[in-house]
Amino acid sequence: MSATYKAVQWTPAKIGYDAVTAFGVLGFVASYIAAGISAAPDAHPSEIQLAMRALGAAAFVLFTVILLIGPAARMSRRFLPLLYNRRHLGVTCFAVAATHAALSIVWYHGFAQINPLVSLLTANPRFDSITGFPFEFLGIGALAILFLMAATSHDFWNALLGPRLWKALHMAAYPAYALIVAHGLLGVTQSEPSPLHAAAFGAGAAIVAAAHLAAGLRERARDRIIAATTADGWLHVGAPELIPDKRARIVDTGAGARIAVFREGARITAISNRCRHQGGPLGEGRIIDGCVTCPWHGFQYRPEDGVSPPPYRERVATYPTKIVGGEVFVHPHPAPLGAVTAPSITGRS
Amino acid sequence: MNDDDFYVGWRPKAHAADRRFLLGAAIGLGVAALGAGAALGARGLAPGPGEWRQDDLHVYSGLLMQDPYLRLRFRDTSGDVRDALVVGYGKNALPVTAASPRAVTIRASAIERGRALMLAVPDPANIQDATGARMPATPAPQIVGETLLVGELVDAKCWYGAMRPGYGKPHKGCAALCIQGRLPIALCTSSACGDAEAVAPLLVDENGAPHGPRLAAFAADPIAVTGVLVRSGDLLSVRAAIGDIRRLG
Repeated sequence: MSATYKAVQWTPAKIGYDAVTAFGVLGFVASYIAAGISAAPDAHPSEIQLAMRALGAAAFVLFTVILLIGPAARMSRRFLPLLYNRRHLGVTCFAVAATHAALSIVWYHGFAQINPLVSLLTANPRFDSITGFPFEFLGIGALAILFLMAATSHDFWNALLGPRLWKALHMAAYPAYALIVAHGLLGVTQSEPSPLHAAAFGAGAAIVAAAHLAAGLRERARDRIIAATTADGWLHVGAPELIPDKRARIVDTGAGARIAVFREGARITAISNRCRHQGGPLGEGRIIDGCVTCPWHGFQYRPEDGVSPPPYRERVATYPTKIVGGEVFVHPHPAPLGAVTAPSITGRS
Repeated sequence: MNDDDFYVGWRPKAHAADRRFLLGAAIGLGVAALGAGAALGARGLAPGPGEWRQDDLHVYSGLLMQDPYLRLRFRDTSGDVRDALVVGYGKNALPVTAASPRAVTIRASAIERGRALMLAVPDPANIQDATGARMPATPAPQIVGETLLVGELVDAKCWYGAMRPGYGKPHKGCAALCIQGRLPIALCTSSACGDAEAVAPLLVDENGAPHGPRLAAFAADPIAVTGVLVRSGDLLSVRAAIGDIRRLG
């Protein structure tokens, strides 16, 4: 949450997260280069060429990890801490991929009388061939998307663009990943005697697809109800006891919207299930210090008016609730943004 | 689920369960990163046995000739006659010609791959005319026979050891630049161009002249060449018309 914007609001958790990321990337690259040198004891492999390959492989592996964190966090809350600072991984992935690209362009397309970028774009015109395809263009496309995402990863851009546009922009991670897989399969693996690199690209893509499919299927089967509607338009949520204390039950209106109905003691409130920040599922969060807290990045909203506590200014919709016959109901039409919606009180505390 | 199970990243300290999980994840990811890097790095494209000792300049005395690329015929320290292609330091041929053989001294670094030798000259001024030295005779080309060769089109400088590896699809742009820069073109005829036993005869036209930049489009591609194999001193070349060079994939 941001009242003012800083480049990074460092916390011990973020420092640890970035330290592990740096160790992982540098360790991967170093072990890749060391293994490449060791594997050819009678030869003199170029450390620069090994480095550019290692960086390309590191970017792919890191991107795979990034895309696995989302579904993993949907499957188990234990992975939510990895989701919290995932954008740091994204920026790191761009930096690693950009270094790979820069090294490759300088090394393979430099040291000549032609501009390296001109050489890069004109050296291979075989767009009509699969095996001969200029795989560099796929890498350029992926790098451009990674840059766009890294450059707009800060919450400043989220606030400026709005959560929907920001989210749509960052969903381009999936085409970027597909481009990287194709870049690898039509590039480096075309010359490899070992199938390991091709298998790694294929396995990475398969695991990412399978994880998203599994998370999606699990999502559909979770405790989410399309509520029955009463004659006057209210949605039936159920008995208050069905809602754990300081947590929510998510109600699907059947019209594409989801409402998180929270209970804190005897107080029943309802707010949009969609976090203003990155669209996180507020109904999977909990009430902390009297505020609904998003499980993704800890954004908070007061349940009665959907407004973040001062000095923050984010707002989400609230919905009227009522209790009739010991059952909780929520109205599918939101109150005006920022308006106080009185909580319903159950018969017990 | 209780409070301890809910992670909030902006809290100053994570719960014990999260700390344990994060520590395990960090160790697991670290070990996986090291293992994956080593596994992938050990199974990359073989660099080949070539080497370029770029900062180790030596003086070579011999006959400089254009046959078809710039080459030096000289006696090595053991008295054996050697033939070495002569190139510049970048991806361009030296701006030096030798229409008829002339005695020179060259200060250059060696790019060596087994018996194959190339001399890289950092500055054309490093080539000086020489007199009085006993020079080896110019070689007479020997026709080995007609041949059909299949392999990868490479630039000889990278394949000899300027790049390691200096072949394969990722190297295509570099090979194309070298070919456009009129560096020697070769055909790696081995199924594994990184092997020590791999050979790469020079590829020239049917008259023994360089094909030049028109072969840049074939760089790093698998090709089949029908031509005549010719030996001239240490240098083996295949003479083939442009129409007898066919892309395979």
